[in-house]
Amino acid sequence: MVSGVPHSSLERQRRRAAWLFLLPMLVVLAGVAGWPLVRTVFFSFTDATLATLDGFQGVGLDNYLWLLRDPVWWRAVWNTLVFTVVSVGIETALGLGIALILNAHLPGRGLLRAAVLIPWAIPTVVSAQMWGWMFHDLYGVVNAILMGLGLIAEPRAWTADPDLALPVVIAVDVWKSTPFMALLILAALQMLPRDLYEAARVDGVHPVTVFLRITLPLIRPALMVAVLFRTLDALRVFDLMYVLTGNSRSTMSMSVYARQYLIDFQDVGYGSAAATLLVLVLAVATVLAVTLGRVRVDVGR
Amino acid sequence: MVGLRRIAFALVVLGIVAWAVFPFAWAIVTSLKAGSALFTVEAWPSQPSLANYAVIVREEPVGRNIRNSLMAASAVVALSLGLAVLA
Repeated sequence: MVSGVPHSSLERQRRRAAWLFLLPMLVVLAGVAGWPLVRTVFFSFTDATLATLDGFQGVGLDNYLWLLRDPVWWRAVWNTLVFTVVSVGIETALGLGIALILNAHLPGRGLLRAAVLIPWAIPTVVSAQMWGWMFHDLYGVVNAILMGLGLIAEPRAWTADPDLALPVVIAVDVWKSTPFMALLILAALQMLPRDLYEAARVDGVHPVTVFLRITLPLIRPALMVAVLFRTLDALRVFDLMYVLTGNSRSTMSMSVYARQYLIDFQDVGYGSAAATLLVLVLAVATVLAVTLGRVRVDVGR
Repeated sequence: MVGLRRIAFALVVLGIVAWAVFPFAWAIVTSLKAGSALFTVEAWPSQPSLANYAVIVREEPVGRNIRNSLMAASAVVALSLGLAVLA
């Protein structure tokens, strides 16, 4: 591809056409994503409230200074980070295992994949409600099964107990998102060339070595993309925590915190500061993942 | 020995499917429990009833809800696809 000044009028025409094609998407993106983002950052430097969106004053960095001194905010950051690392880690490991199993030539493979996809297909709010009922301390089936198996002596308050709540939220997210990881990894596994495995079998290589030395490096690009998607999703998690545990401090994520200040306390300035910090965290995570993980978002090498 | 491996494999597959499907199946079982049967924990209600479904169809505009979902889904897919393909 020649770079720099277009030489011929045909090339200029092509570039103009390319820009015309890009224009609708850029305009929509600017309107739907760019404008609210700019507005949020703007509001974070003011003391606006939901009731006084017009009559506000600039307060400089006050919102941010308050935010960085709020222990509840740091607890929210901690919750979000723990949730992200643990849930993405477990989902990747389990997803890898399930993908390897689903890759085998089984009868009814299509039905199997459809069944495994159900947790991902159900809307999060709905499945969170389902799990909330299952984890109910008096009438929930989880307590009934665990007590029936003799694993616990008395019913536990899974979503109310501050020590159990975050593990519960992580467990529900693992249930929900492992199928996503599994299917992405499965797609990558199915594109691997067979002859490599034939050669390995002829040479008598141990299956674990085959996995570590052949399979894993080959699916690395797809794996990294899946991990990046899940990590970004996990950093901005909201509905799971909100539906299962409300505004509880032991599980609130950064999004729940921002929403509480924006809507419940009607403090648009402070909530916008929290939201802006969340966007910054996401941006940093993306840059880190793409550069360190050498993630390729474009197809083809 | 191969038979044993096969059985273990089948069990693992069944386990995975059960884990994925159980909450959904439980929701269906729960929906068939009417009244105070809801507060008992049984694998299958002793008196299954469609009363809950009747309440939903009667109280909520289910037809409109489904139509809204369909409209939103098709519009979002069409618009996103159109914009993305152009770009």
